[in-house]
Parts: sequence; structure tokens; C-alpha cells
Amino acid sequence: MSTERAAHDFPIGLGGAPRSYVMRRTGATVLAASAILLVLTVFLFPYYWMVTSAFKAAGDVTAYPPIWLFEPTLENFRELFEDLGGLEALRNSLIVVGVSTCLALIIGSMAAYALARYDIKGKETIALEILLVRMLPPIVSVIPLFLLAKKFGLFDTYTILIAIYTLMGLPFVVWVMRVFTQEIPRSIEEAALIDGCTRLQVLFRITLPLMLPGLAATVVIVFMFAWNEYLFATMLTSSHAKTLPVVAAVTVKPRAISWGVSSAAGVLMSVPVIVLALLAQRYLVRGLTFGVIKD
Amino acid sequence: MGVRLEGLKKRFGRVAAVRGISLTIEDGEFFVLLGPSGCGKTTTLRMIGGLEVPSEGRVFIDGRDVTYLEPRQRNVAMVFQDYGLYPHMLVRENIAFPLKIQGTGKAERSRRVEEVAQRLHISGLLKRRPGQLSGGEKQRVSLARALVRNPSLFLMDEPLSNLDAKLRITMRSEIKRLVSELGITTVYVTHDQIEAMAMASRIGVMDEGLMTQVGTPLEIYDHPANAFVAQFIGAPPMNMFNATLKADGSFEVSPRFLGRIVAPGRLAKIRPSDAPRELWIGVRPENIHLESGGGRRNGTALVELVEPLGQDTYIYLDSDGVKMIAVTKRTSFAVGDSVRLRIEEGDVHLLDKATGENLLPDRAASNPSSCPHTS
Repeated sequence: MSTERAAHDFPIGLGGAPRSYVMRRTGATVLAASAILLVLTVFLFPYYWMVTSAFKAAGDVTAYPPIWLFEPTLENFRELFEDLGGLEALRNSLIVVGVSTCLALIIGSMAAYALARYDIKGKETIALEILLVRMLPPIVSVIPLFLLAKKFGLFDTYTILIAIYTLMGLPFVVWVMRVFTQEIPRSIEEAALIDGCTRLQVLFRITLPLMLPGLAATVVIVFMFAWNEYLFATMLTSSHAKTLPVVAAVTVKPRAISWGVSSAAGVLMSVPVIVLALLAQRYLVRGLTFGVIKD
Repeated sequence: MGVRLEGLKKRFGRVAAVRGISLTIEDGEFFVLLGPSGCGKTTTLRMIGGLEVPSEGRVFIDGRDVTYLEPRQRNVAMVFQDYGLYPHMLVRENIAFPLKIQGTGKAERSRRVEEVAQRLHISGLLKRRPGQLSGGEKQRVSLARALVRNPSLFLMDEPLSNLDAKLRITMRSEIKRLVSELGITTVYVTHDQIEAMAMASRIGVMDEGLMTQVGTPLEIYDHPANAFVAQFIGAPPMNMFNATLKADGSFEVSPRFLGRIVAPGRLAKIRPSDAPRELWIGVRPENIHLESGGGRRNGTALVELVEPLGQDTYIYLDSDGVKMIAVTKRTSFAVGDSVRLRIEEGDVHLLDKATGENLLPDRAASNPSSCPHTS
């Protein structure tokens, strides 16, 4: 009621609003903008520093006082790609993480749909058990997995990493997508059935498009989990299936840290995640506001 | 297209939602399934539409056994309580969706969407998304989507219950006019007895998974088959007074003056039994007439509360410690007044307390499935 009245008294454009009200509004806007700027600086400055360091020559990176203007060089990337096998690691990472994210998404969404929609005996327990897998600290399972991988000839293969990353992503996908599915009113699917759809048509024409915001949000997070995973990658690979985090870690040696190469690895690792987040952005925003705009 | 249900039952685990319903709905009829929440009316509707598979029994639409057919094989349209619109499609796409699935051509689709939108006065909304519509507009879109494909049967699941009171009355008459213009058989579920009375050509009252009574609105109102129907239909509900019919034929009722109204002749129709029989005497609030003068058979009561609602006035009364409610037009009676009550003999219902059965139903429908269609 009070908001209605306020809207009525002060029409858009604030033409008829009193001066004090306009000043208050402007003050609030300036304050909010400053706060946003501050937060952005805190988050973005380290990233800026990393990107510039990646293009600095070895001496410039650690120079004090810091050098703000410098001649960019690709030396760090050359070292990363040629000496440390960064390109192969990038390929490995893309394959392992890409496949495992897709698998987790497909299997997880199906499980989530079933848990949300069908009357399954003890489905709450099932859902909880799925979540419990996620609660297990990775360090607990890494040794047994190492032994198993050795025994079955899976050590240093894509298969073992894909399997582990899929399993790691699954609980997250199941829980998030279950909630998203529950948010879709059942009557929408039933309306489609009545309107003449087969069950499969309902899935592809109605349910999946409605799940997209959820799927987009989930894919970014699951991808990031697997993309940044280090422990399993370092323990279960040696050369063939080595992923980017392992290579990035090599740049940090006990006695010397090659800051430039390390930064180059950081840039390389962050690019796919940023691209993915930008691609999914449209859906991410919808995903975050899902409860607000839904009927 | 008529609908026939034969011994329809539905169990969810251990819960029996529908416990055996047989019913014939004639072609072109506006049939309302009425009952309190949890009585199985929506489940029955969903079984007709194919959204639930019956545990037992059969469903026939236009003489064809559709019990195990998918919804899309039944050519029924349904309007849902929460509208069931597709949020990711424009209003135009929502309405055209059933036609698109049928494979109707684009030009024909667009022509029919325009036509039905005009009929429902939503032509201006076609480019919006469901999220941008008000409740009433959403309901119109959902009706349009149901109408656009010329269904053989119309199913409506409490379509008005999410709308505000004023809009509900407008939409109520609009739906009734629309459906009667098109002559499509309609099954309509509601828990609102006023809505049912206003819209139905026949009502089926359901309780605890069973069809309690089927009849025209006035048949059900005037001749309720049992205590449940008597109390469920009518607002405020029927007054129920405790009475005992003793083995020797004598009759006790409270308040006592009712004993002078119920003629001994009517009681004689009830088969005497050895044990005393507990009864209810039911009187509709509008059949309790308040007078200032007194007749021989009249009772007295004290006015406890007066609710002037404008059109009607609800008067809460106390007679010999028994509470009752009367409905009159405007009145000058005030709290604390002593009034005389007049009740006509023909307005009294006698109901068995143990079984709920109406002992003098006059011409109440006793067999739901064979009740003739009167419109």
C-alpha cells in the first residue's frame, strides 16, 4: 500500500518530487556506485596483476617499486607451452573436464528429474546418500583410488579422471537440478500432455527449456570444480593425462617460483572459465532470479 | 460427447482417493464435481483426462473405452487451477501450442489463435509472456489454449479459485456463456458450492471418494440425499437439531417447538424400530421466519448477533439453549430482542444420525448414475 502511494506521489522522472527527496536519491546512487567500485577493485585487481605479470619479462615481475608500464612479451607463454607441456595439459583438461561435466549433467539431471517427479520409495534417503558422497574429503579416497587405478591399468588415463570428476559433480547436479525441477509446476507438464504431447515431446519442448537456467548455472559450477581440481589430477597422472592445474603447480618450486610462467598458467586456466561464464550469463541471471519471475 | 465412468477407483499407496464411482455425463452437459478438499473430485477429473490411471474401473468418452489411453489420444482440453501456461513461450505461442503439436499449418494456426483471442478479449496480450499477465488474464489465456483446438471434452480443475472474489463472479458467468455457446461437454471441479450452483446443469456431490448425490442444483439444494449434502450445500449451512424417535412412537426434539411442526404423519413413514432412533432435524436458515407476533406452533428465541450483509441479514439465535442461524432481508431486530420463529412443515428435513441418510427425501435422486439430465 505504502509503495503504491509513493509511486503515485512521485511519478517517474521525479518531476514533481520535493528537492530533499531528489537529493536523497542521488546521494544513495553515488554511495551505491562507490561501494560497487570498491568491491570490484578488490576482486579484479589481483586478476589484473596476474594478467600483466604473464606478459612481463622475468625481471619486471618482481621489480620494486612495481612497473606499471612495460613492454609485453610472450616469453612466459613460450616457456609454459614448450618446456612445460602446457598445450597438451590444456587439451587434456578440456577433454577430461568437458566429458565429465557433460556426463555429470546428463546423468545428474535425469536422476534429479526422477527424484523430483516420481514416487520412488525412500527417495529422500537416496537424495541424502548422494549428497553424502560429496561430503567425503577427497584425501580419504585418493590412496584407495590410486591403488585401484594401478591395479586396473587406469593410472594416467583420461578414463580415471573422467570417472572421478563425473562422480564429484553428480551430487551437486542432482541437488541443484532437483530443486529447479521441483520449481517447475507439474501442471505445466500435464498441460502439455493434455495438449497432445508425448512424454518425450514434453521433456524436449517444455521441461528442458524451463530447466535451462538451472542447467547453465550448474554447468559453470561443475566445470569449475573439475577444472581447478588438483589433488586427484596430480596423484593419478604422471605424463600422458596430466591436466593444467598439475602443470601450473610445477611452476611453483620449493626454491624458486617463476612468477611470470605461473601467471601465464593462471591466465590460461582462467580463460575457458570466463568464456563459459559469459556464454551462460544470460541464463545465469535468469537462474538466480528464477523464483522471482516464475508464475 | 458424453462421458461414462464405471466403478472407477483410485488408490495412492494405502490411501483410497476414489472408492468406486459410476456416472454418466450426457453430451453437451455442464457437469460439476463438487466436494470438500480431499474428496477425490480432482483425482476423478484427472482419470477422465488421462493424467491418472485408475486402479479399477473404466472410463468411456463418447462410447470409446479410453481407460488406458494417453491424454493426447482422448482429444480433451483441460484448464488448470494454476493455469499451467508455458512460461518460456509468448501468449500467442501458448495458445497455438496444441495446434502446433497436431501439425496444423502456420497460417491456419495464426487464424485460429486470432479468432479465439478475440472471443476471449485477449488480442492485445498475444505478444506478452505469461509472467507479465494478471491472474484473470492468465486464466483467459489458459481458456483460449483449451478452446483453440475444438476439444470433444472440456475439463476444468478449480479454474477460478486463484482469482479474487469479484473477478471470480465475472469469469464464472463468462465461462458458462462460452461453454453453452460452443455446446462442449464440460466437467468442472470445484469446492465452492455457490460456483457449482451457479454454473452446473447437474452437480455430483462427492465425499470421501464416493459420489454422494447427483442432480440439478435445485434438486440437490431442496432434497439433499444425506446430512453431508444438506450441510455442504448452502451458505450459511443448514441448521441441524438433535431429535430422538422413541420405540413407542413419541418424539423428542430440542428446541421443543419443532415437535409441534413435524407432523406425526410424516414420522409414521419412517419404519418403526425397537430401539430409539437418533435423528437430525434440518432447517435451512432462510426457512426460519422471524415474526413479532406468535402463532400456536411458533417458537421463541433470543437474538444473539446480527450481521447485516446488505442484501441479506444473518441473525444468530438462541432458542432453549439451542443455537441456530436465520437469514432474512433487512430487519429491525437487534441483539437481545426476543423473537417468534415460524417454520413451515414442508421446509423441515429429517435425517438419520447414524447413517446420515435423508429419511424423507421426497424426490431426491437415489441412484446417481441413472439420474436424468435436466437442464
